[in-house]
Amino acid sequence: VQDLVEQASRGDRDAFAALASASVDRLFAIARRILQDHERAQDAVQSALMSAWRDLPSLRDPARFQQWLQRLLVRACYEEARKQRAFRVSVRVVPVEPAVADSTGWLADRDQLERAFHRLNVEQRAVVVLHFYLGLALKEAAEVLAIPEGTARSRLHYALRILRGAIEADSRPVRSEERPA
Amino acid sequence: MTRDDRFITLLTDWLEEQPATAPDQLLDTVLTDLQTASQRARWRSTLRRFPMFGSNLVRYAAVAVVGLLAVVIAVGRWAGGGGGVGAPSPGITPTPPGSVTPGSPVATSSQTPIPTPSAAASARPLPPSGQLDPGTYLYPRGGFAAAAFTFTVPDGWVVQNAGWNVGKRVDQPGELGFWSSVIGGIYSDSCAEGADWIEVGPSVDDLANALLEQPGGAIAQGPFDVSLGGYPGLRIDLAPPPAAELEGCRLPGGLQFWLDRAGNYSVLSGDGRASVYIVDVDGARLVLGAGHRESSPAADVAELNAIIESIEIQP
Repeated sequence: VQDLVEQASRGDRDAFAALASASVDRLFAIARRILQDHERAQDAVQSALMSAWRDLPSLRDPARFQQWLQRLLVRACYEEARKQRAFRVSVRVVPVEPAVADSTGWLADRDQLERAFHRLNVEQRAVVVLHFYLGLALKEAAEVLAIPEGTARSRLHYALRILRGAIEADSRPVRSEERPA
Repeated sequence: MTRDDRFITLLTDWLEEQPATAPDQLLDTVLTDLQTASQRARWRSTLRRFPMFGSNLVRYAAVAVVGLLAVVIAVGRWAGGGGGVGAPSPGITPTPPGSVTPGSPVATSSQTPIPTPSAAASARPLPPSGQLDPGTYLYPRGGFAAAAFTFTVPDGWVVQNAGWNVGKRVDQPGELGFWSSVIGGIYSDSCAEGADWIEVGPSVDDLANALLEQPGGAIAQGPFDVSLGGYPGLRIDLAPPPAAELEGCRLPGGLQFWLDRAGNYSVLSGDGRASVYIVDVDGARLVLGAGHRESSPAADVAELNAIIESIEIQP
């Protein structure tokens, strides 16, 4: 990869195409989760990859290409999130009703989780995705986001509080201790 | 398992199960753009990091003031790629399902140009976003269109959303534009919550009839015989019901007719007018939507008409 990065930084389009091909699924997966929108995620990935191509000569350490690319992607996601999409909105696929009763409330929780995730701002979503989906430590996530680790920790804390709160609020009516005797 | 463990498991599972594979057209678009995009020189990238140049506009002005003409040209090129000065503002939105009123079809058989091979040869690739220089562009066959076609725009038009829609005055009063979609089905109702998705047959007639019969309140007229880009087809004109009837729709204030293969759809709002061209291109069904708002200036609508008339389909 490092060789490809160096070649691409010298203007080798084929080398960059190879890098883009190897990265596009991963980038899309991240953007899709942060933005929760298929189309916007594509736009963000496209924007990030083109920014990477244009600015690659400024990348001083080729070994940090992936982290740098992820940073560009997150920035592109921020930009996409700020756009207004009055005429094209994300489509939520509604799952078919389960054939078996959802006795555990799992599906209901997932629905609550999805709704709550949409209430997070894009900066909070980014930390959640980098930490829980990519598995980055908070310090690594902070580096990708170019923010202090404490800020990343704070964003994650508030994000999880919102998400957890949504699940717990939903489950409260069925908790046994609240049932009438 | 503690409640917290269960929550984290729920969260990680939910994140894991979302789509992780990029659509094919995404990489195709990037690789196409790559062929024409230039890299910034190392020193120019450094310039961007100066805080005083944090604003693209300020940077552009500062560079202009010091008379670095070469830099100005380079930045302009960069902007053309959609990333900097002159790139569409975040507020720009995709074009609505504007349309052409029933009395003023965008293209008719008498207006249809005869395709010429030269159009494709001289056409520029359609960039994913940004201002379009006046000229002829190629809308490629792929996720958005069942057949490639060229079109010619005057000054003032932009492309958005990975090359899906071309418009003017986007996200402003009077916006208008056109787009293409690959459509395999429509909603059972363009307004009602919980509408089903209904597959439609592959022919021009199949889709035209489905749109004409689609419940939801749209005022659909047609089909009108047309020839678009040298190929025969049908045109359906769509107008909305009174705005008040749209407020309770699943997309408040608008009608949603379909979800295309790329996951896009357009919404016909209370002041929108849309025409849907459905054309048979050697067995492939090309669908082109064009539209405007009631407030669109007549001159802009005339430009849109001219753009549609300029279309040459490339089988």
